[in-house]
Amino acid sequence: MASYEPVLTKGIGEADLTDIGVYRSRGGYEQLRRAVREMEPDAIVGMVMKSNLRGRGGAGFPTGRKWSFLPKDGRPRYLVCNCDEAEPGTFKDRMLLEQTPHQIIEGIMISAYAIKAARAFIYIRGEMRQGYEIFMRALEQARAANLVGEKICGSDWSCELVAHRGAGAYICGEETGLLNSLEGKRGEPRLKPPFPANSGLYNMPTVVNNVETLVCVVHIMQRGEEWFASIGPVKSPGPKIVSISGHVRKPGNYEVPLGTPIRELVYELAGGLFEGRTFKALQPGGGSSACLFEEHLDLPYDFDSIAAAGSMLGSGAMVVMDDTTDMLDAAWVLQRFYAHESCGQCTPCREGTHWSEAMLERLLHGHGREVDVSLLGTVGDKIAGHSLCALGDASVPFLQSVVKRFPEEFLRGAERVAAIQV
Amino acid sequence: MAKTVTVTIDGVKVEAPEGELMIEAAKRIGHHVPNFCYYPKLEPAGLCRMCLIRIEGQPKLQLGCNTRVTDGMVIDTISEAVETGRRAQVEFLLLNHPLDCPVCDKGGECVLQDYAMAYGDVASRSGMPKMNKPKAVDLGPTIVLDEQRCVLCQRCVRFDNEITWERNLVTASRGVYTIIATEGDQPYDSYFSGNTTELCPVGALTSKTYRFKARPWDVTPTLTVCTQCPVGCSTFADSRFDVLQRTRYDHETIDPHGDPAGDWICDRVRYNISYLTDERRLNTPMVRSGEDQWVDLAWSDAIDLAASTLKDAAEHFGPQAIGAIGGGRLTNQEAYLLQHVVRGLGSANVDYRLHDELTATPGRLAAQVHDLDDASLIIELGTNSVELAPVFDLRVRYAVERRGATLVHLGDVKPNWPVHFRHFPTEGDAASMLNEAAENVRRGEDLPKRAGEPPAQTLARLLRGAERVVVIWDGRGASEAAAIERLIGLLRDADKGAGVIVVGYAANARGAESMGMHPALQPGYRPAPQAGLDTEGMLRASASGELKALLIFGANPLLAYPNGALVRAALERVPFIVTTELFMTQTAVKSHVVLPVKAAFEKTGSTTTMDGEVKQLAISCAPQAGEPLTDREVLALLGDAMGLQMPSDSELEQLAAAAAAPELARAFSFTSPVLARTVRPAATPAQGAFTVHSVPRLYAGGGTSAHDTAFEPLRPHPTAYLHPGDVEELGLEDGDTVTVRNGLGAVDGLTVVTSKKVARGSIGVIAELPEAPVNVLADDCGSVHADVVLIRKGRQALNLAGAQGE
Repeated sequence: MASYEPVLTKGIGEADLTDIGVYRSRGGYEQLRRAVREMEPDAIVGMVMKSNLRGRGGAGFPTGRKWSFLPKDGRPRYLVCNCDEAEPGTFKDRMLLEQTPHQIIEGIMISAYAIKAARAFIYIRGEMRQGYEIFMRALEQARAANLVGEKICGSDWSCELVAHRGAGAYICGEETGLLNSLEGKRGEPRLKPPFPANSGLYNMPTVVNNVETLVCVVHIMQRGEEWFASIGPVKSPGPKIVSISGHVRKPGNYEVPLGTPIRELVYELAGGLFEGRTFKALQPGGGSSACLFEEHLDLPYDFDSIAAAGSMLGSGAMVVMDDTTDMLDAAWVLQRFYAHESCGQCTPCREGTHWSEAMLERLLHGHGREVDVSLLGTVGDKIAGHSLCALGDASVPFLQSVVKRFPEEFLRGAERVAAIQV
Repeated sequence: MAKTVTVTIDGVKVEAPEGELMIEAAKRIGHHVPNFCYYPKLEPAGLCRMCLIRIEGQPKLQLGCNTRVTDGMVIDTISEAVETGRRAQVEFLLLNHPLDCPVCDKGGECVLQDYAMAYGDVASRSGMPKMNKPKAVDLGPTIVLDEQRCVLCQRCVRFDNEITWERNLVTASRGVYTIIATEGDQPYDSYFSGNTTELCPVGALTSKTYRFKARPWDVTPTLTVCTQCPVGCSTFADSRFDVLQRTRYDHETIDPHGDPAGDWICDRVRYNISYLTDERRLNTPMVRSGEDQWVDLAWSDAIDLAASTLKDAAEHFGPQAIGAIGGGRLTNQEAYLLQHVVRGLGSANVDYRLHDELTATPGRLAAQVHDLDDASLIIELGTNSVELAPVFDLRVRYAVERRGATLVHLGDVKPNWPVHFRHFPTEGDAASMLNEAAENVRRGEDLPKRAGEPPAQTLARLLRGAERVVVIWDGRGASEAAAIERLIGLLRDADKGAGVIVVGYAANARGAESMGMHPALQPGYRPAPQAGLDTEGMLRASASGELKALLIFGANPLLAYPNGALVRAALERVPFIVTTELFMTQTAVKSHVVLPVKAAFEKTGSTTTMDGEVKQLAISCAPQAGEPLTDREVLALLGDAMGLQMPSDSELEQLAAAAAAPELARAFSFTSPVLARTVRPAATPAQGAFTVHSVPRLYAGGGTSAHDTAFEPLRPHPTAYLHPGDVEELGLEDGDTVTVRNGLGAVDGLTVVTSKKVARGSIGVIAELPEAPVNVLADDCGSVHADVVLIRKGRQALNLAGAQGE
């Protein structure tokens, strides 16, 4: 651990990386220049493929493979950078946006070049007003420096980068919901197939990548795919920014190699729990991930290990809960979020998230029925695997994991009714 | 043709075209995959999640509506896993559904009701109060929405987006609060709105005219044909106790795998049906005595009176003193009989053409309606298919939006197309533009595209780049006919696909033409040995006193014929006019004998669609008062009373079928010299600052639309469409009331609507409105000029339906 030197977050807090001069003085945009002037696009795709880079947005899909799905039929292609970071507990993209926007632009432009995109877009979460303004200033600087736009870095390649602000819907972080929103339509996920690689933005082949993923590409270019692949586990290598929050002394973003033990993340980097508290549970990958418990603390923090334990690494947002956490309360807060953010298109997500929320609210107020506690699990089963997009599925794991582990905390909400009935 | 693959569905091996949706493949073995949002003519949406199926080798259940079959696939649609998934969806949908089946119109034909029985539990497990959502939401002039019953399958929204391209309907709010709403909260105003009630799988969308009227098991369905426009849509008519309750399309029966573009029905046939039982309907023969005095007659007396007067006229003044004008309301058999009677008396003065048309049959230059699907360029000339043939227009929209056809309109008033099109103003002379473009194409010049080029040049470039061209024409104008013939010949010589579709003004115009309701054509398009007078000729002969007796069957020339002054003069002068009508129309009032007849829903017979297809009418209801006969019965009685040789019923069927033979229509040429029309003396049109254009509207007319209380809210308000520049110059505002007048007459009570669809110096006035007949301004079928006079400032409480589409 001590030997790891951050790359993605390097310089944050030391220098004003939002300034293009500072960024360039530290080697910034060198990789973009090298890419467009010295490299073939396919060579970059090959590098990313070999690096085993997996998407940092939540699903963990291999980036190189995603790029390789684009059909070679001459239609214009688009690259969309997903900066609609809204997963509960996640705040890594926001930091990158506000602190090192040029790194994002460089990552987008290299990747756009690699997939031969006709145009690149970045969809920035509506609430990130400050980040948007910082990014727009950086974009102007980059355009003035011929790093975005016509004949980039003196090469024959031209590509415009368009920034679009969201309006505050979680569902627009889902890639097809994002594409609809970007097209000016209602932010609703699309039915798949067709997949964006074939029919995405304006029905053209499209790649949607997370901010951190594209930032990783800059460093794969700089240090080589072997370097990247050598960090952490073979199947999910590379550096990862983990947003640690909740009941820890030092919440924040920490860049670590994937595969770092969870215990190290919680107790060393984040400073451990508060005085006198004991560990209860943690969500390893944002609000949509199932809880991990005491017995999982020594697991390595990487995609496959977390999945094997029944949860997911997701966006890399770790929410730590100590013994003061009321799981019924926590579950209600999260469920209310999903019910509120459900777009309402498909039956199971629209009705199911609301049903669960209503049951939890009833339990929270002591009006619940005992059967509600088992129904919470049943309703989850009815949603999971049946919804149109991942939002429905995402609403289930946390709730089911805590109901299973701490049923008594939920049953308490049914006691009063039970008592009255007796 | 797609490759055939073999898949195993529920243990049965099935051959299916590769890529077929599983929900369709399952139908091949008679297995119904339950669904709400899936609809064969709409794109799969995957919203209701009801059509879950299992595919061997896939961990998750898949959607039957969005998974396509590949060879060797093993699918199950009835296993426990699948049923569990479906039960979950039904439980979810019932959580907030009001279960008000006993008072719901959909009860008995509701998909949710069926699935609740199949997959639902006896009692709810939720133990929660249901959500309240708005009920009886007034979506517009035709539709009422119950948000609480809605299962949010979005079939209605998708229909409105993918089929009509009008984009009126949207979803609003989100999550469990999602509702169906209209864009910008504007009224849902569409000619196709009724289709959404049929698409709705539950009782959420209901028609204002059918709400609380009948139960599906109480009505008797009859498959018949709509006779409101030349498209001739197959339509189910549901009646109870011989009273028509509703019309509907019913894809499952009529066209289960049909293509999305065709075969819907429009709101004219759906909502304009209560005229059948309107108390203003004529139910007994009448003879005029004095100015506005009418005396009831027995049928036998009425027929005797008509027959003897006609015979006398023929004897005293010669057969040429008798004429007949028949409308498109007649069936083929009736049209045949009408010309048979007139020709039996020795006259050839018979015509169906009420709008100064030349033809209704595209003949050897024809394109079929299906040709639009593959057309690269569609040129609409003169006509306005949005208003005159709405369901046909859906196919035009499909060709543009889905098949990438370029759509061009040559005319004076821009149509209300929701799809992209180019408009080339012709200032009344579309033929010249077409000729110029054709000449350009013939010379083969390669002209570079430049800004500000004349439209004919742009049209020429479009023509050169097009492989398949379809012209849509209203059948008016000899010079247009010649130009179209020339262009199509040129394109066909160049091995391009080209043809013309005639979208005319009367429903069965094509049938009438084929039956010989034409002064120059006998049944089967045979040239008549001696041509009689056409409509214009008969009207002129009437006005000059040469015509002594006029039969008007199912026509309202006083409202419809462009030369209003001539019709007025004619009807004043003819000593004897027999009219068959459903109502006391403008023309009927001027007649001497009015015979009440049955409506299309009340009779049998055949009708020919604009595409040349012969379809059969069926009796689906009966007149509720009096003793109207069919036009066919009237003509048979009349013929017998005059001692004419009349065909028997079976002979008539054979004669009509022979005359309607498609090969006869295919051999016909609308530029044949035998079709030469009455020469019109050069008119000196009345003067005025504005050129007046008649704007057709689907809901206009003086017959069924003007005598239907339930349809009243949909009828267009008399409107004057004026260019914004002219509105400003005249110091007018939207909503002002104006009169349009010239030396011949005045159209009063027109509401000003600013519209860029008319050019500067032009005024669009809705045609064929009895309360504001625009043809009073004309004494010629050509251009009309008039002045605009302000009558009253300010917006009055007007019926907004009149301003639709602007």
